[in-house]
Amino acid sequence: MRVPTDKSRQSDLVILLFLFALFLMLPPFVTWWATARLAWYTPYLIWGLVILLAAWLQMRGAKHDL
Amino acid sequence: MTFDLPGLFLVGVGYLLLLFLIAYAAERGWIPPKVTRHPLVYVLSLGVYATSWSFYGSVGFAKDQGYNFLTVYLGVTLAFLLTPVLLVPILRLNRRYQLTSLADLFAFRYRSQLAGVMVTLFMLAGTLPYIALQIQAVTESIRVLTQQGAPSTLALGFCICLTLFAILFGARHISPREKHEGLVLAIAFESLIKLIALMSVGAFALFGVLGGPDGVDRWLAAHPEALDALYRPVTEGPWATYLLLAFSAAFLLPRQFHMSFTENLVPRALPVAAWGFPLFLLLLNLPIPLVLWAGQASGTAVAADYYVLGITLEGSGALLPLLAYVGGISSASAMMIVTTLALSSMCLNHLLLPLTYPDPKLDVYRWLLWGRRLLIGMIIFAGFIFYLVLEHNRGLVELGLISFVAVAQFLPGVFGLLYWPRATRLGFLAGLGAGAVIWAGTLLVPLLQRAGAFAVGPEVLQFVDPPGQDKWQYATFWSLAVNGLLFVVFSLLSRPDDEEREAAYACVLESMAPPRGVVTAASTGQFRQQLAQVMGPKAAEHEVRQALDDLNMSSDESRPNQLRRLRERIERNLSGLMGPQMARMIVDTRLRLNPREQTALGDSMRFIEERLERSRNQLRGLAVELDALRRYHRQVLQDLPIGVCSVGPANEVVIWNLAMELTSGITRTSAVGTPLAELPEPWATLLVEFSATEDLHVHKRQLVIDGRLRSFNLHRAALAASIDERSIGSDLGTGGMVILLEDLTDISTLEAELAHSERLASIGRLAAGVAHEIGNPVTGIACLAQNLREESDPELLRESVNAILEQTRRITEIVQSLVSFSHSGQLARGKRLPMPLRESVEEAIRLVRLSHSGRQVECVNSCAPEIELLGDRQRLVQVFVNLLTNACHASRPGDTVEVRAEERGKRVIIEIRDQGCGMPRDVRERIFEPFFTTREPGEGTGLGLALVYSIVQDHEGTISVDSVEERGTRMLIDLPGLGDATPPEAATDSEETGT
Repeated sequence: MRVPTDKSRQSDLVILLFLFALFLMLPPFVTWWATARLAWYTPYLIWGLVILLAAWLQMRGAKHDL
Repeated sequence: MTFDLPGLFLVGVGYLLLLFLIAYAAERGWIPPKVTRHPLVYVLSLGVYATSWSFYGSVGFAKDQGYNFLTVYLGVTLAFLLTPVLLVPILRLNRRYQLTSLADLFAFRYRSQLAGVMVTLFMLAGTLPYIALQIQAVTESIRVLTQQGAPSTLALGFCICLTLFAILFGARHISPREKHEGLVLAIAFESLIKLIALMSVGAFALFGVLGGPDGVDRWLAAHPEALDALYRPVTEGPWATYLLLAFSAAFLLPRQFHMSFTENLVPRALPVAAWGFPLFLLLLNLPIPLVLWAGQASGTAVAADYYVLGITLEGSGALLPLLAYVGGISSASAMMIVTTLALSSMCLNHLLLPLTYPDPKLDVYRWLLWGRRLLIGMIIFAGFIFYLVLEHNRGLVELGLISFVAVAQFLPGVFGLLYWPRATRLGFLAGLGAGAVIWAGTLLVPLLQRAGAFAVGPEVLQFVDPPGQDKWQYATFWSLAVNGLLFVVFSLLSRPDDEEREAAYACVLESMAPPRGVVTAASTGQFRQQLAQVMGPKAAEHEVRQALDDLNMSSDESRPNQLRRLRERIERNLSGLMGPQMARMIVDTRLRLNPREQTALGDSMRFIEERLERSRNQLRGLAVELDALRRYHRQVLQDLPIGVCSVGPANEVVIWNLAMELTSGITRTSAVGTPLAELPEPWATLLVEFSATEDLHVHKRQLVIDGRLRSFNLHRAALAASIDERSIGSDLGTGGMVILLEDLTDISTLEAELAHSERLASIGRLAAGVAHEIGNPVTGIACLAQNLREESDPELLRESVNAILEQTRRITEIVQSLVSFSHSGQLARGKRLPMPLRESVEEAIRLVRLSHSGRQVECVNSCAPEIELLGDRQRLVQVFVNLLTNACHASRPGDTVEVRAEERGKRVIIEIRDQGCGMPRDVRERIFEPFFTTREPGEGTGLGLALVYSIVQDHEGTISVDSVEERGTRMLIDLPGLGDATPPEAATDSEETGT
């Protein structure tokens, strides 16, 4: 089996992160954190986590071919 | 605390002047490019997304719909997460094809002017409420601060200021394809101001009103319903709908598209924006709940939409309210400026130009520039009219969301553009048309009806805005569902034409089909003439010059493939100026293609290779392996130490490898695509002549290059035609030939040096014989001279003098033979002259007799005096010397070595026969190998017969050996006679060395 290149692996990770972010931002997860009586800044923490992962992914990834 | 109207007006004008200054400083280069091109500036410039809606309206949105307000930014985060697969391809397309707006992009993909017109009109309709929202926010903020209504003239003044700014810094250049560093920096500065202002207000809310983090906790503990009001709507409201709308707005709103792609100064900044921009939005929204609670806690009478201003009035200072006010102005102005620029570009390319194309006698650039400026003014004015028409108490969010639903209608089109090549123009137009009608019916009509613009019957209103349903969810679902369905159905029912298919492949994956046809204009001068007929001479000259510079091409260029590239470049540049449809129309009518003329194979190959290189990261599976294989083969050809030149069916160069570059000094770039006959001399003549002959090989062809004599072997093979019907418009596999060029210059020089060394070695071996041969006549001369002293008889004196002269002639002959033999010789073997064979053999025998073995054997020259050869006398004498020396060595004292010759047609066959010991078979098979010798070490170099073989071959001759042990050896040489200047048909090694 062919070992994925850096670029294709990067694209795969991007899609995975997008799906993970969708999971965090769509029901039923949204319904859970909206009804769990969490701290007021909880949505910001979740949002910040997604941004952090995106930054990590961009920094480790290959530069985009433009 | 209240403020007076003139003061606020001055603050607003002062802020806009500061913006002017920043933009001007960047345009003049006072701010270094490393600042203006920094990714942070790009990220902040994307902050144009946050308008008055975000700055003021988010608090009101949060009050009404809790954390649903975050969806407007979370959707953007989702879109930017997909930067590598969604935004980067759009940016790449925009840059490559010089597309300046979403309308350009769709018109390019779906090859339709109507698509451009529809997108532009829909975008205008969808955006005008948004512009009105900004004007409303500014006037309302003034009302909050002054506690009195702001006159419409103030709104008008604000619009005029923005129009001036947009014209000066957004429409500064002739073409929208030029980037505006000043504009980008100014918009980034506005985003920074927004962020600082909102964070300051948030800090004031936290510490000044709520009493710090502990105070917030206490207040929330006392008012649990506040937190509940934020969380509850998340489970009840249209969370997913808002997410979807924000996702599409992130890159489809005119201002977002403009800043993300059109004004992108550094492409590598976009990946940074994938997280940088969401981070900016997070920071911008962090204070919103605090401001909301602070507003509720302070009990301010201001509407929640303007709490950002309202709570600051509770404080004692004037600075914070003013900062918040400036933040509001920056939000509104940035949005209006960028949106207007984007819309003006669309209107110019897709509405104004198709309706009224400028007269070529006018200055086209000037016309376009003023056309854009006029449109900027008109769009802002239209927004102002919309503001006047609308009821002023509409929520900010409502106006913004109407635009969001409008731009979401482009999602199916974008999906088709990036991922579905089967999507067609008809599908796009049908889907967008239906989506636009539903959008207008469900959102715009109720809005205008409520504003009193016109009346709609309750039955209709109930249908378009049914009570009990969330109107955003209702409108988004139905418009997008019908839009998407019609897009797919009509795409499947219709067939894309060739142009559309080509554009579709260009968008989805790099189109691998090479361009077909040849431009009818045969020179850059003709390009200028043709373009001048539609653009005027000045613009035509500028465009052709620009394209030539972009391609680093000379204005003398006339090669068809290069002119084809020039045409493409001009089309792209014109696309940046007038839009893709107008650009295509101009080049199609003025720079026509002759599709019947075949595209040069070299050009097709280069095109395909360039595309493959660019789209490598898009290849998957088998294509990756095939590409790796292609690269490997390419590298093998490129690095071969022998020159490889493949020629297409039209005799144009297709492959020109590195060795060919080094040998000829002609670069691959300039050679590929060029007909052989148009290569620089002497290569054109060499290759054209060789490709025209029937010979598959030419050996040691000599050329004088830069004053240096060089020698080459040439080989060629025809390439069989192997057309694959599946290849898209490719001419690959249609025959041609491959030529190999072997540079023998170094080898020939080495051979000449070796031959010279061998001759000098022979002279060394002959030294004793030379001394003997010269010694005898010298002794004779000495005796005769002694007799002369005592001789007085004149007759005897004359005889003695004649005898002395005879002896000196003998010495002279020996010396002459030695000098001639030892001369280093010339490499120019092409100059062969007629030479009498007998004399040459005689000269060789004289030399051989100087050796010890040569004196013991009788050498007989039986060649007829009339036989003549065509050759290099000195080198052929060396052949005879070497062969005779070997024969003498192999002979016993008293034996005879005979040289005979006979003419057979145009050839001369020379036979050297001895009666010596002969050779066994294994020796006979190796005698022509260099350094092979049967003599004792130190007695022979082993180069003699190898040289003989090489010299005979150079003369297009053959040599063979026939030997029987103990009976003798016979060497047969076949050389061209006077009447034969061509080589024998089958001069192969097997024949030459056979016995």
